[in-house]
Amino acid sequence: MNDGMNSFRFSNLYSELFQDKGYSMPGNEEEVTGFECASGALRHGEVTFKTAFCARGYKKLRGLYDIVFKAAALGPDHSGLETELEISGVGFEKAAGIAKGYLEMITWGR
Amino acid sequence: MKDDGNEMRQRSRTIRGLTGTVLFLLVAIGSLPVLSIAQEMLPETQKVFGKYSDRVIKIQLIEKNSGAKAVIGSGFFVDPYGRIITNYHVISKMVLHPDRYRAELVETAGEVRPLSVLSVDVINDLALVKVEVNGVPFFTIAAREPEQGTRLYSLGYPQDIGLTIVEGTYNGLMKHAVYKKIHFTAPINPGMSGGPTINAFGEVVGVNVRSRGQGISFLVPTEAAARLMRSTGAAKKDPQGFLEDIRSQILAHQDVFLRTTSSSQGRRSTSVAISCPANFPVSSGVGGIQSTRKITLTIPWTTGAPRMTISISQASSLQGSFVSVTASS
Repeated sequence: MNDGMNSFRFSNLYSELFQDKGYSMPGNEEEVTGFECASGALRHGEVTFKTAFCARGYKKLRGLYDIVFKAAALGPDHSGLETELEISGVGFEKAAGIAKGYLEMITWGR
Repeated sequence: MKDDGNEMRQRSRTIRGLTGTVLFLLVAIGSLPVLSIAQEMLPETQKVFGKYSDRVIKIQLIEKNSGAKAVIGSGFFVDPYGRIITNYHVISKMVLHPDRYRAELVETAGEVRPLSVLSVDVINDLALVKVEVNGVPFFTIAAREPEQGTRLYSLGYPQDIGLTIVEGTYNGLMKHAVYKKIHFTAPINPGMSGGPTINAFGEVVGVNVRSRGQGISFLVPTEAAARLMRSTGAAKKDPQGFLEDIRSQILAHQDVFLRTTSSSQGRRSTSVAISCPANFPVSSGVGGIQSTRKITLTIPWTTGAPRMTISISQASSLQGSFVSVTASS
């Protein structure tokens, strides 16, 4: 089931991928603050996701944020899922709700 | 010869008399002057352009420092007192950065006038703006939705190359769209944003807003424009006064949107609604339009048959998108 990669290498590569801030949202310092992130874990059914929820605020439009939400789960063997969701111009609580709902839709197939 | 001459004079008098009678009749009925008859014989598009083009204006945003044109868009008069409907994204730079940009109206004849903003609707991408004029010709809003296939005419200033008319057909409201949009089959090119799409009677059916290319274009329905026109606010001296309006419109809309989509929960294949307008007013993009969502799913390092497959369908409407994620073995 694997491609010759040992668990250690897999784990390292997976961590690197997860930490990569590859988001490409436009915006400049005049319009938005820097991103601030909170990492955590969220269990949904049999799957535990490692999550990072990053937000930056609009300086002129109080209460609106750009959100980058990343989640990763390790499946059986050397399989994994990494997903990223970017949302612009959304309320903070709404974004958190969307991110949670988004993860809840993901289940491992049987 | 004499008889012939008399006959000819008589014929000539008869012809003159007939011509006179015809001319008299034409003048007498008045509503059908010779010019009108000539116009009736013109192709429909030419007639529509001739009758209504003076109600369409060009809007340009000028960068104050350099004097360079930053945005070109279109708009149209909706009353004789200089009120104009256009797209929000045409004037968004000025609303967000009034210190850097000023908005001008360029009339068909080339006259330039300063333009002020009265009201904005960022959800439907509309703005009500005004110039100080009186007695201008203006458009009225069509009272009812046309039948599918009705020929319509779209006017505006594509790529700043002069007032243009394009024709296409009305194809109803887009299905599965988060926001109401009319599907119209004509090339609406950059610069025509905010211009009117009208029927053969010169009534506005929609406001040009976006094109997907290859003759697939979209219009904002007139109900949103009519709501803006009912607003009675005076021009705000500081356009930044609109920031609070923009903020509350977006947040309020997200509330409504999440409520209406929550009923879809509980199904095996469900969807999450990302409720932000695609024309969210970040000013760094062209015309203030930004792509607002990016969904990536990757399944790294799986070999052989993956244990999980995920299909994503992203039905992106004009503004907003649905993402559905389905997992299966």
